[in-house]
Amino acid sequence: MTRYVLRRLVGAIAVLFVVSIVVFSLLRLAPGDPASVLAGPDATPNVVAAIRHELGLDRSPFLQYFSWLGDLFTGNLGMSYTIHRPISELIGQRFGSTLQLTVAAAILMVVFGVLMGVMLATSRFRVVRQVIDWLATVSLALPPFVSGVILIFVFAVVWGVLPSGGDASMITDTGDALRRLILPSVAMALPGAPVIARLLATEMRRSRDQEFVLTAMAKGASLRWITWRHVVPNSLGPAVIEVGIRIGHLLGGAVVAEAIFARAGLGSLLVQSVETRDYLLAQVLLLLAIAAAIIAQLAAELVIATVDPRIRLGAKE
Amino acid sequence: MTTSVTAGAVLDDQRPDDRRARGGIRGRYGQALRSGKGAAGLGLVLLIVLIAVLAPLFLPYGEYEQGPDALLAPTGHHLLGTDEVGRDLLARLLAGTRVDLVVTLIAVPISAAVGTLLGLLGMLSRWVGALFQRIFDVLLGVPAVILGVGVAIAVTPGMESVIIAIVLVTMPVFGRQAGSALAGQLPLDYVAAAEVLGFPRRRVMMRHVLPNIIDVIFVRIAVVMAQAITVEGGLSVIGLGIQSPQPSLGSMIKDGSAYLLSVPLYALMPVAVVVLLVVGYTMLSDALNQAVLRK
Repeated sequence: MTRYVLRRLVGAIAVLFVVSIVVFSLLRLAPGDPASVLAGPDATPNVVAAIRHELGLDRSPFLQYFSWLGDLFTGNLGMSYTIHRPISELIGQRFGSTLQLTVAAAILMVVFGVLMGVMLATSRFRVVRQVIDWLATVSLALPPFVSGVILIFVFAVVWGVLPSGGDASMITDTGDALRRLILPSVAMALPGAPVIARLLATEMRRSRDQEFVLTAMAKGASLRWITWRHVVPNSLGPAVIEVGIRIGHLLGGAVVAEAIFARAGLGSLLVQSVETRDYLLAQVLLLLAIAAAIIAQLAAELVIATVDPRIRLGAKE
Repeated sequence: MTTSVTAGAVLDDQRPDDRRARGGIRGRYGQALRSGKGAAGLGLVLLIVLIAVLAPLFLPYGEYEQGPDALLAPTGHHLLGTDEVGRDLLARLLAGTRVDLVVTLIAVPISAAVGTLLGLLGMLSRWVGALFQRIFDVLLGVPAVILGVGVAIAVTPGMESVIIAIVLVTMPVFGRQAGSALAGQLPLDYVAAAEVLGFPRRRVMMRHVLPNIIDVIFVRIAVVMAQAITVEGGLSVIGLGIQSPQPSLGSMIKDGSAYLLSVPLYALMPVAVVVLLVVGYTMLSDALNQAVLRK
């Protein structure tokens, strides 16, 4: 197990390193010079040169990269040169909002996914199975920007029962904060849940034919007990991997959801930083988002490896 | 030498999969399109294409033409109403749909061709092939919108940047598919036979392996088209895709969601078009999966 963990960890770090180089170079490919953007249209060449020097843009790209990487490791993220605040402070302010959103969406996605999956696999009624299958097809077609607009229209505009967006403090105003979380997290959870449900249902049908189910039935266990205690845990494999990938992808969904629901999170900060060409801020946020996706995927692989010895020992199917 | 050339010609000619089984209305693709789901999916997509291309011929307004009345409710003159600067929403919806169709129809074939070739590189060099499979893994792990934001940093946002983003997001899908299909073909006898005959590996790759795996790639295109529509939408909604005043489904949803209370159709119509396109492509993809790959 230790060897497997080490191998995956080294792999993930190597990928992150390459990603950091790509993110860094992207900003050097960008049209327009950040120094002249910052200096404004009327600046003299001298002022632009001074700003270039201050930002370290007159050094070789190689040196710039390594000093940036060194700064990242020492936690010195630098100053945003459009908002004039330390980047770490900006991230700190916005982090809570995005974290709440992704955690809420992840919980909804897993709960809906598992419930729908179990119903899909066990329901005796054809209608129930067909309705879930149909729901799965439809919600696959609903990326967060589509379901978001529909949810706002139905629940905020037509019925007026939920706020259309924004955020409130989770500590001082918990009720309002939770209410504002409902629509965006549902919008983000919708595309993932049916995928998880289908993976779980397929796997459950497979493991239901195995002998431990027969044994449990012979010993007189109830059907519900057999389903939840024996069949579901034995069928989680592919679903867990999918959950890991989906949670990594929720961060991308958060960028869109924050735009639609007007939430002040890291996603809207990223969009703002790209629009204002605040490169220092943009590259940190971009790297953060990719790192989070890679870590979520790694976590899922490790969870499944602890459950399934075939994977960590590198056995082929 | 002569024998090897003749044997080569025979081998080149001999497709394990008889061509007639695929093409034509009686072939497997035809069968997919004649199935209820496939016909409905294709019909839906074609209907949207036809309306988006032909309807503007009958419209009195252009998509950039501003009128005196802003945010008008639907009337006899403006069937869907007008936007915040008095442009006809129907004209903008149709133009926006065309932009989405153009962007996805340029990006996805490029992505399919490049992705498939890169995925087959394992045929020429095991090492290079494995490297690309790993790159595709990493790209698949990064959320599509985040990739798109990265592209929007390096390339000024607009149609070009959206096309590049769609290619980057969807290429790994084809690359992985081709890579795993290749792994399934390599142990087969015909590859060994071609090897024994001393064919260059590139010829084996392009003339023997590629025709054998092309079906799994073709079938994927439908579902990737749906994905491409959502990439354009997501990027334009956050403001880093198609830029105003050019309309697209995503940018109309972005602008229109500010007026959900007064002119709900502004955002809801492009939302409906996105849903119809995605559902159409998904149904087509299901039918193709069933008939062509017999899944």
